[in-house]
Amino acid sequence: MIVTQTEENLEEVQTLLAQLAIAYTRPEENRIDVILPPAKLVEAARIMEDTGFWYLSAITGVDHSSSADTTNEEKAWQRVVEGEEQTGFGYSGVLEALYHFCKGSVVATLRVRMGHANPNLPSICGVVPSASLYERELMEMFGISIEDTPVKDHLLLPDDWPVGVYPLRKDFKGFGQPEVEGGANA
Amino acid sequence: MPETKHGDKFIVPIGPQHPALKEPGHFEFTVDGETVTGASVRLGFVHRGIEKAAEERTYIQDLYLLERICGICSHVHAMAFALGVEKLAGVTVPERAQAIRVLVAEMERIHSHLLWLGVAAHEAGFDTLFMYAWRDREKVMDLLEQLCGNRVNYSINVLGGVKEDVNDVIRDGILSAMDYLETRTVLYLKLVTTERTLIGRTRGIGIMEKQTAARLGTVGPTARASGLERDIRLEAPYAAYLQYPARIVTEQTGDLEARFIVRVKELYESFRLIRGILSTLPGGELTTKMPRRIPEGETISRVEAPRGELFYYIKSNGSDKPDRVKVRTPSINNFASVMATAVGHKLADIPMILSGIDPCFSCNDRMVSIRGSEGQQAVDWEELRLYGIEYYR
Amino acid sequence: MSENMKSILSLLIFPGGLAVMAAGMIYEYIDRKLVARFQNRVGPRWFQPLADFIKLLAKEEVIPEGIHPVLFQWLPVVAIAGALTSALYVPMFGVEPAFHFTGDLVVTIYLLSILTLCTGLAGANVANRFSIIGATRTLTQLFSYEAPFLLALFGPAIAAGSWDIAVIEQYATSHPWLMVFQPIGFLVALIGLMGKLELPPFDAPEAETEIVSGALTEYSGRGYALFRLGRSVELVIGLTLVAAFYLGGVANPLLFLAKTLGLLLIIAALQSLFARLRIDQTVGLWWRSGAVLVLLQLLVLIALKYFGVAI
Repeated sequence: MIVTQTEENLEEVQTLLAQLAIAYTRPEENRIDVILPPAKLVEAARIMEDTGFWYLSAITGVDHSSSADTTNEEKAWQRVVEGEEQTGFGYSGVLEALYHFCKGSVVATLRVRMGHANPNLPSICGVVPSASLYERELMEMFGISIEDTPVKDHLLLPDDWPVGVYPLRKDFKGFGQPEVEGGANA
Repeated sequence: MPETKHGDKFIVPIGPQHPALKEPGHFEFTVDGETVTGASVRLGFVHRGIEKAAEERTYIQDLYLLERICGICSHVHAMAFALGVEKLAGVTVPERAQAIRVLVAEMERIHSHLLWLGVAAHEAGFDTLFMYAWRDREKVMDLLEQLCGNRVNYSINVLGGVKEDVNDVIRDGILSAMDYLETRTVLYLKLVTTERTLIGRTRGIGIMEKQTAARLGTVGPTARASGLERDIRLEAPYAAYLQYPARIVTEQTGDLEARFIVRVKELYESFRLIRGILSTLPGGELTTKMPRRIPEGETISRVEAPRGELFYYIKSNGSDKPDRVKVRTPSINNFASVMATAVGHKLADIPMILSGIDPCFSCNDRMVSIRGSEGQQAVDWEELRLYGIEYYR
Repeated sequence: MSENMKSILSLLIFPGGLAVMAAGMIYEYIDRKLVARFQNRVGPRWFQPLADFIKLLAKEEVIPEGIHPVLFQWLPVVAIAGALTSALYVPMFGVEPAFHFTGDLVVTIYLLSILTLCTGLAGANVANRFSIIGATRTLTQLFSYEAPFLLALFGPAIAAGSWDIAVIEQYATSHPWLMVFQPIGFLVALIGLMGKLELPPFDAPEAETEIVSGALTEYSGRGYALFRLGRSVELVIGLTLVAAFYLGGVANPLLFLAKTLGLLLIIAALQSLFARLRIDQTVGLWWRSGAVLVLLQLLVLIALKYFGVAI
């Protein structure tokens, strides 16, 4: 029973988002990945939400650069957005946001990709209010700017966190060992 | 009702340190007299940088790291990670190991729900129930210690199986403890449905309609108390839940009382599952061989933690370290429901509503290690120490 | 011994002053121990209230900024003075009250309210949000339980035809237990006492899971010690009053002990049986049930008295 339902749900996503998607992939039997241009994100989220059965389970940010190699990132990003490369993973210099919607056993992932230089996304809070916490996380952890999200304060990082340091990007290697101050008389 | 003496905008901070919260989190409630008119949240006080740290460690090290995300539901974290990595590696885990994983998961659920029952009773000022529930919780803790060697952070999972086996002594111990706990649970169910002062604090409080619960993306017992049938154990059976199917427990009213009832009734479900597993525990190996390097790929692993759906996204890059581990814990989905339902309630109800979702702050706050601030803290500590010495001189 | 000397002794040593304080600590211990045992805990050791008191006295008293410092320091003193003074009019330990005059019942009840009033003022004095909300709740609760408690103690007074505690106590000793004839009054008096002392389930004014420690959040050291001691003293005095009025008097120390400890047992059980009431639920309970019922009983009593029926 679960198997047929899974199949139905997977097909439902495919028909729902047929107009918007650049490409689909089915990486696992219960998953469907939908690659979207950032401009179509809100509309896609609205379609998913309006069904009343799909709920936003999480938003994951991923930094695909394996090193600080950012020379070709703009080109790579262009290729990805234009849908020339459609496989699931493995670009250097690409940031990706994954919007996981769940229904039953199926996880439908809306994937939007951005370059490192000026990553920005539209907010889906108008459609899915509970996305606010995840969007704040994307902003502070990956430096993706989301202009129209309702709250832009730090969620997890301290208030005095340095501007422009995004800890979950691959080029963040920590601040090094702290200098021991006043250690002599401790 | 009393009037406030300071105009109509009066903010009551709950947290970062507050007796109602067992862990730090910061909530600001705007009150008018005793009535709440606004709410906001700030997390991150127990932020440990686990997601980043996971990228710099091997899969085996990560298993131990991720188990420490939460002290209450530690097993489900390790299980979700292990299941995900095993899927990436294409390894089939022996049936006996999967059954033991489910066994420990259900025992953990009992311990977590009893813990919650105690905490919620304490928020309601009902300390007797608090003490009783926690005494009974010790039974499960002792069993877990007997089985796994640890009271918390059981560490029974390894990649590709489990470490410890269930022998006859442990089996009999668990079965007799389940009988005892079942008689206690009868009492608790009677208490939460008939004790009038408790009902006065729970019935009709913090009501969340089914539509609202669905829209806010609530999960776990919080969602089920609003009549939403969300349970990963049924929807997407993992480990041995296909062989030992759980039955869903829902309530329709969506108030605090329903959340009490759902959690207490889920205890029965856990007793049944544990008995079922122990009577038909499949034989065979406990572990299977795992490759050290995991092939490139990405996967999503979802399990039903005591608090709801736990979501793991794991991306591997062919090395022995993951490229990205994203953990989304159930509490973060449920926080939105607190903010939405708090408005309009009495201040006295807030701790109850807050604890009604069984929040777990450590779970939410993970990810980035903040090495820079440690130096600063050391200075503060030193100053404090010197001040202390000076003061008592 | 001169009359002055005797007065000073009864004020400072026995039955007022030291003796009442000691009794307060002992009763507080028994209460805590009983509740702990009911809750399946071990509970404190016998000297714990004394140890707490000494520890608090030894601690630094932090005076917060932006308050009236004199008020902050003297409110606890006034509070405990009120409680200790009221002990002089009550047959403590089964001996005659040190002083008595017609109408001392009313004076005693108001002396007993001083502690609550001071707690409320102390909370309103500091600029702490928890304190201010606690103070509001404390005063709300004061207004809600005060009337029923007062009326409940008036029942025996009407039956005895006197406002003098000593006379009422003698009446209660020489007649069958008033608890039997005025059960509502007894219940309201006992529960009113719990409300007065902010014991669970009426501890909304200091609900730790909501407002930390309520009105006394900012208090540490000496002030806090005095407030706590004042409450323990009130516990003994309140128990004595209820026992003297409703349980057939406290003619000798043995009877005093037996009856007050019996009442304490009931109070401890009630404390561990219920979940905390919200402040609006407390007020509702008092005004909707407590006050109305006890008023009804009072009217019946007056009517019976008027028609000359022996009660």
